[in-house]
Amino acid sequence: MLNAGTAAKLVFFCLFMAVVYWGMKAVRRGVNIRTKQLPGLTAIDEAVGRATELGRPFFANIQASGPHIEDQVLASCELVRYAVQSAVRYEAPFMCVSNSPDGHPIFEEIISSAYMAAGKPELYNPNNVRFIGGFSSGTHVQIMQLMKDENIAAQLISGNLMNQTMFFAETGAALGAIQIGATKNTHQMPFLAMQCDYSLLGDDLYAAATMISRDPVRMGCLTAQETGKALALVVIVVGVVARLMGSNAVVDILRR
Amino acid sequence: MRKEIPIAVSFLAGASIVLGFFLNVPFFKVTASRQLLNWAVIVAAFALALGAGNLTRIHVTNAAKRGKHWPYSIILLVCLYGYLGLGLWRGASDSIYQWWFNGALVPGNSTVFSLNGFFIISAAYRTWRLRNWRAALLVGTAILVVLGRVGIGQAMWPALGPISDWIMTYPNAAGMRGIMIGAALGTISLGLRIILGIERGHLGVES
Repeated sequence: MLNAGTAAKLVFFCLFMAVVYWGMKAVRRGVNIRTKQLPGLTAIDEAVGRATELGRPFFANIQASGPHIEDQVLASCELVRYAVQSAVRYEAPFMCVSNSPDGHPIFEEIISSAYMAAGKPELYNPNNVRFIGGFSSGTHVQIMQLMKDENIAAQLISGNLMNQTMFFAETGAALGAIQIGATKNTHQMPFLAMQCDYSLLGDDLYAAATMISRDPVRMGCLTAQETGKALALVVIVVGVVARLMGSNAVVDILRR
Repeated sequence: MRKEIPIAVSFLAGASIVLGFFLNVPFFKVTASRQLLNWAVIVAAFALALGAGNLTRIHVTNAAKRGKHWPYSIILLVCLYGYLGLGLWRGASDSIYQWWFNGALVPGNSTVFSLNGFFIISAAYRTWRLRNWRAALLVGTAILVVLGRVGIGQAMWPALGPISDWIMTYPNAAGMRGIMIGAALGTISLGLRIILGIERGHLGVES
């Protein structure tokens, strides 16, 4: 019935679902779940403030590594929504560029909706939501030129980042922009940590999207995320101890 | 209905893929999940057309208004539609079509990609400042790894190679894997929220 090697994964998945359910119930009952502070999230307001003061754009730069919609692009949607809502409130110039063909219409919808909801549709400029497609260096150069032309004040670099991280972050740094980087790609994390003022790395990207809303159901998912990490840590420690004692039991169970 | 139909489609598609991963049932394992992945390629092709439409609108407007860098807008449009036309006319395996790709795009990409080396040096220069003990730790580790990876470092002190390898294999790999486990849980959490219709940000509406 089960595919080979998926039994342990299924057990973990069911446990995860159970914790999500428990977390949702707990938040709905009024239990206050303490969550970690994410400086990268609060920095979005600071970055919008800087863009407002300088009268230069907040630049949301969302990157994908392929033509399909990706989880990191989806997680970036909430960050873009939060940033554009803040920008509309203070009437800060806002631009969004994406190389994701599937993601572009979503960003168009999110950004135009934010202007409509704030009752400021006249401020919405469709040319400020751009699809600069492709996954080659030519695309990166075009985005870098746009950043220079618009003289951006702040930048959110997010998504499935590859080698383009350096191009965008260096251009932003040269323009003196406040920069927030967000990705789960471990190979790009050192670059973001080096070049950006704030970062949302690994699961922080997903946690940030949840923490923006403070929605009970989503907070339940965040609780499950954190509990899952604790559980993984326990399994790792038990596995290491067992292996040091000459037992392969934990590895065998996980491979089932 | 604007929200309900996409949520229902997300649930059916997501649940089929998850069931296909766990269950050895041909319908889920082969038919549903593989077919859905094939459909995703087709949907992406349509989305690409939407993106090309956005690109065309912006650059036609820019060229018509003689906006900033307008000649480049014309070059972009000529390349976009010229290359598309060439591909449709002569096919993707045609030598002229291939020549433009291999002779123009690939060297251009490589040229721009090589700038990364200079960007990394510039970024490292700004970062490697001894502001506090953590920065000092970063700088010390980075110097050991960099010197251990180049010939001159190992010529100065042969132990640098094994030290560099040890740093990359144990502390670095352990840290990276810890982050990957956290990120994987975040991905599962996001996937569940989308499948269950809790997360609706991708539908353009506030959750």
